[in-house]
Amino acid sequence: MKKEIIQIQSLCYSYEDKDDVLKDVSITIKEGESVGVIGPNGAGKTTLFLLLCGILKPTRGSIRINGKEVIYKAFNRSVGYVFQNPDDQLFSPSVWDDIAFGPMNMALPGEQVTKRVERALDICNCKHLANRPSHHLSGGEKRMVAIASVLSMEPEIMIYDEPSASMDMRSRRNIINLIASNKKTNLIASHDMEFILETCQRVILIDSGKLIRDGQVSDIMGDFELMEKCGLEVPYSLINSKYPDSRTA
Amino acid sequence: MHIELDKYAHINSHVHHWDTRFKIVSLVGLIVGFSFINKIVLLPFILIISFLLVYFSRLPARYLMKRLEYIIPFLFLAVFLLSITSGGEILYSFKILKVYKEGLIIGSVIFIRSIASILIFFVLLETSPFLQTMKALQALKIPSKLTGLVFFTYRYIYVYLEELRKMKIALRLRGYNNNSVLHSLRTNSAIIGSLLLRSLEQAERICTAMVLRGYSGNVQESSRFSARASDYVKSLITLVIILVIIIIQKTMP
Amino acid sequence: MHISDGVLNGNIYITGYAITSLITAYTLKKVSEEDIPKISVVTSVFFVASLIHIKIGPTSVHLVLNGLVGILLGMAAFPSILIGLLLQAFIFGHGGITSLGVNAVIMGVPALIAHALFELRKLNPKKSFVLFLAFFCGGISIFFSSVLLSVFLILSEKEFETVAKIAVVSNIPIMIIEAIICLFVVKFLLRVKPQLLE
Repeated sequence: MKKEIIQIQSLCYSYEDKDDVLKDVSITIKEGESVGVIGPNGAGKTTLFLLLCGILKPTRGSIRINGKEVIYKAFNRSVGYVFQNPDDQLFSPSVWDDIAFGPMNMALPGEQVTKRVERALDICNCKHLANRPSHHLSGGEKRMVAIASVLSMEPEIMIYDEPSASMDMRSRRNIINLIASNKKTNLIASHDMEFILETCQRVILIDSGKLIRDGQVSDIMGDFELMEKCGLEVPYSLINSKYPDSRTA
Repeated sequence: MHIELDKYAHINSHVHHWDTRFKIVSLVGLIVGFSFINKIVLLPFILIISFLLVYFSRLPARYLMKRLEYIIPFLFLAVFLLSITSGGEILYSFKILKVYKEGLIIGSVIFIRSIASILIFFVLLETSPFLQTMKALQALKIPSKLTGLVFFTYRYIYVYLEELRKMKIALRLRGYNNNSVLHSLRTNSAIIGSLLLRSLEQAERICTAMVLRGYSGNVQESSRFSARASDYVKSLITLVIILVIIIIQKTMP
Repeated sequence: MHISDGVLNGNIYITGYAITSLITAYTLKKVSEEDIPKISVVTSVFFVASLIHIKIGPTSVHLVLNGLVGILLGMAAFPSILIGLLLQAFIFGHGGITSLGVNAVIMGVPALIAHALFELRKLNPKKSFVLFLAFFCGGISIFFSSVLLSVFLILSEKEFETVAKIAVVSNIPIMIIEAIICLFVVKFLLRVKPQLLE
């Protein structure tokens, strides 16, 4: 049995001006799992992620990571969050500085920082970009650098918010390969069902703040009625493929 | 940072119904009038005028008090500094600390004047929707380049506030805390630089989009202000009050 | 570095408005209508940036950045600062409508000086010199602002003399911080988009 790395228990959250963004959500995630989080816009996916990072404080319920309660507003180096818009994350004069930012805040010695930056650049195939300013990169390059800037902190859990949004085919493929080869615990929110199908074994469906279903990718995403009810669509490849499970294997 | 505007802009009161153009001119005139007052006997009167105006505007007093709370510490600091640094006659002394009469007096004058002025300003601010106030400034023949600047700037403040908010979250998630001053200066400079770059690139796109929609450099806002007799009356009363307090101030020994 | 309503004598507020009107009229002539969107977005960025707090020890200071506005916007810096202050007064509602003219002079004139000083980079386009100028402009504009503030205070009431001196001295740490920020931002822009500073 692998250990349970994330334990969410009857989590509720309300914003000041919006009640019940999350209602009584309980999820357990094991180490090394890749979990897709799907649901329509405004379902509460991003809120869930921000709660996991300790940026928001649960109204009720608890979140434990590695058995320890998430502390509100405290830096948690075991959770890395890749923003939906890379521009929110990248701000340094060069790609290298951006990727080194996290490790430097972790007060690692200089050679460690260098090593981590190089490793992250290597994983994301961004070595050639190291000295370029982040502002001048293409959309796909920016996304890869944003991922590298989180990977360099070597968190145990990676959270991706809409990683394939506005990516061209090649960039999207690169991200899929990167996530698929990553042995960490991954949480991925996306409207790109095929993307989830290729990167995750398990999927969590949220709608209007409630956990609707939690289970195997093909079971949930192949359920025509359920998907329709939540304003989602069954991915094309699941409609046509007789053995949908073979794709996720 | 949460900015709340227009919370009480739609209450039904005589001040709310005052034409915004007339209101701006009259109330700013009143605040300017207040700043000429330095006779102590007149201070209660300007406070009363401002309280009356707040009363007529029907703005919730508790809300105004809460907003005043931000300003009062600064005013106290000013009074304190003035009363220990200037004047000749010592009222009270404690070791090296000496409280001077003249400093205390002028400090108190400034304190009351400021409270009265800021209350009037709150009334001006809270009794019309923000955009209407800006349009009224435009109707008051402020150069079109300036009003253009106001509207564009106002529009984009919210865009960049949101960007700054997100960038700050992203920083925190990568372990940033402003412990070391130099690191914090460098990080904040990079953020300001990034925002500047993005804004300038955005400005180019805004321009293209505007030119494509027929913009030729002049934002014409149709102003829909029309003054009624009551607007003239209200402004006239204010003008009389301003003149009376200034004349009393000038003729008093 | 703001003066609020009710602090100064009425004559000074009116003088402030007079000076501000003259400078605004002159500087606006140098601005073409097509540049309005560009100046506006930069103004809104500075508005937002002035909300950034820098923590020094137990206290924190917020940024003024008027030197940087001067460097980036040139003559347009003055109307930009005027609008920034107007919006600040109305959005935060901490007062500052009668003092708008005075505050615009306090913040805007040093921005124009910073612009003029930064022009000196044309004499010596070496990067280190440009960075030095940025550092100098960022700091000196805060110094000039605090001096102008003091002048207005003393002109209004002579009792303000000591308070005015305290204001100048207490701004020294801010001067240093603004100088460093200005240096870093210019360094950033030189690296990422040097055309902006040409």
